[in-house]
Amino acid sequence: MSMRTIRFRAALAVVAAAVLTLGAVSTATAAPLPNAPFGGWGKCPIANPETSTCVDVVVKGGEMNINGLKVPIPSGSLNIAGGVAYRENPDAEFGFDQIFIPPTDGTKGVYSSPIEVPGGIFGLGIPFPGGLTTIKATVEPVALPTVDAFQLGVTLPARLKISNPLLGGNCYLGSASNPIMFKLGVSENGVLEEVPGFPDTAAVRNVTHADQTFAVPGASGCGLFGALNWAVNLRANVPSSSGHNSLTTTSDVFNIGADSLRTQ
Amino acid sequence: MSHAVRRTTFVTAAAVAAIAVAAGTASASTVVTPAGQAVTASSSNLSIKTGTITLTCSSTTGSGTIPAAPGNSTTGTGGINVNIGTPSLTGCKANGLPAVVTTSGSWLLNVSADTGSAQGSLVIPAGGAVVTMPGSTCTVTVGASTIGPLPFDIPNQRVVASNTGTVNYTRTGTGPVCPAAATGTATMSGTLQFASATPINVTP
Repeated sequence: MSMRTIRFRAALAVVAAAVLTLGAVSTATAAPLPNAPFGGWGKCPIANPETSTCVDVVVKGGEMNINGLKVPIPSGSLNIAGGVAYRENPDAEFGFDQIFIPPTDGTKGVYSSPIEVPGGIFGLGIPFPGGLTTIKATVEPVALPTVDAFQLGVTLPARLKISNPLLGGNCYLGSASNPIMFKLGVSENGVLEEVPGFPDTAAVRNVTHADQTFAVPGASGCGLFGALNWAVNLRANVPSSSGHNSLTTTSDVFNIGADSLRTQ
Repeated sequence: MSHAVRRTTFVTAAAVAAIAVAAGTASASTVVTPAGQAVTASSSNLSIKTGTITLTCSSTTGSGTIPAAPGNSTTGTGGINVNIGTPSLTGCKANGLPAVVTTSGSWLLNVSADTGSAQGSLVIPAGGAVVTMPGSTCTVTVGASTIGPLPFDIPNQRVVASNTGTVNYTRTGTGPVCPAAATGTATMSGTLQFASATPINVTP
């Protein structure tokens, strides 16, 4: 056992009494549309007349790799939903910009649930009463995502909330001023399908997105006064510069013309 | 004249009449009125379904003139063509994404009374519509197509299509929202409404 690991475990033991319960990010709910093949589009801000296309990206699986720390992404752990407006811009490649319009539920249109980090605190997967060794990571947007409804690309400025009773409620990788910039482009096209009952749609199943360009900043706010930032950095192998990290997801993407929903 | 001769004459005349009726159906005539009048065809819900891509347009407009007499009538089958020029299709989306429809050539509205009642068909020339999605390389080109014949609702001055074909198309391009390149047939739906100073009438 290395000295670094010993120091890490010792630090955890010292603060073990300072257990702080972290609240999971809640998932906003909306009434599902009749006959829709999934739970989306109900979040689409169709009351905004600028909303032209409603987009719903449902992540079904994937993996995040932060400098060798691999975190499986389970189905349903991430969902991006909202509207897209097309604003004229003569300087843009196609003469317009695509503007993501978030739902009216106060969110940024990104709905995520905590993802368990394999191995927990020690990287050994040894369970400990009270979940003290369990680490969960939650993607939190720090700004609105941008969505390319044509190429099904998503850019998401985010931070990762690291949850463990020992780390307090403000332990993050990335921040609003120094976010992790996920730039998810389609690496493998999915299968375009019809959505029965909704003709003005593009349902693309099993789209593979990937990004290998993002950097992951060091931890902040972990433990009392950030006393455990170093431990989180050690466990997550951060800070990690671009080129050492990757995110791959498989998603179903559902687009629909907003007018089709307005007339439902 | 004997009864037998009169009866034979009657039977022959009836047979001739029956043949004439049958022949009349086969060589139906069409008259479209009023001749020489300007007419506008428009739709607010035109859609073309090409496999997994559905094009919808909130505004379709084309204008033309009913042929002047004697071009507004025919004694044969095939009806009368009303040239509605190159229509404008705007407010279009393809699978929920903005799409641009570029039209060309002369689109025709063919009206006829070949079956004894008014019918209408929309005739699209080869390459008459090219659909592009500006954010992708996906393109759908409509080939020579005839949609109809469909009943021409004279009282309401409209023709209603519901998944009616055949619309021939060729699809090219690649991308996440673009299916594989293909050639196929599509269907059209929507209501084509006609407006003119005097209502159009189509009679045998």
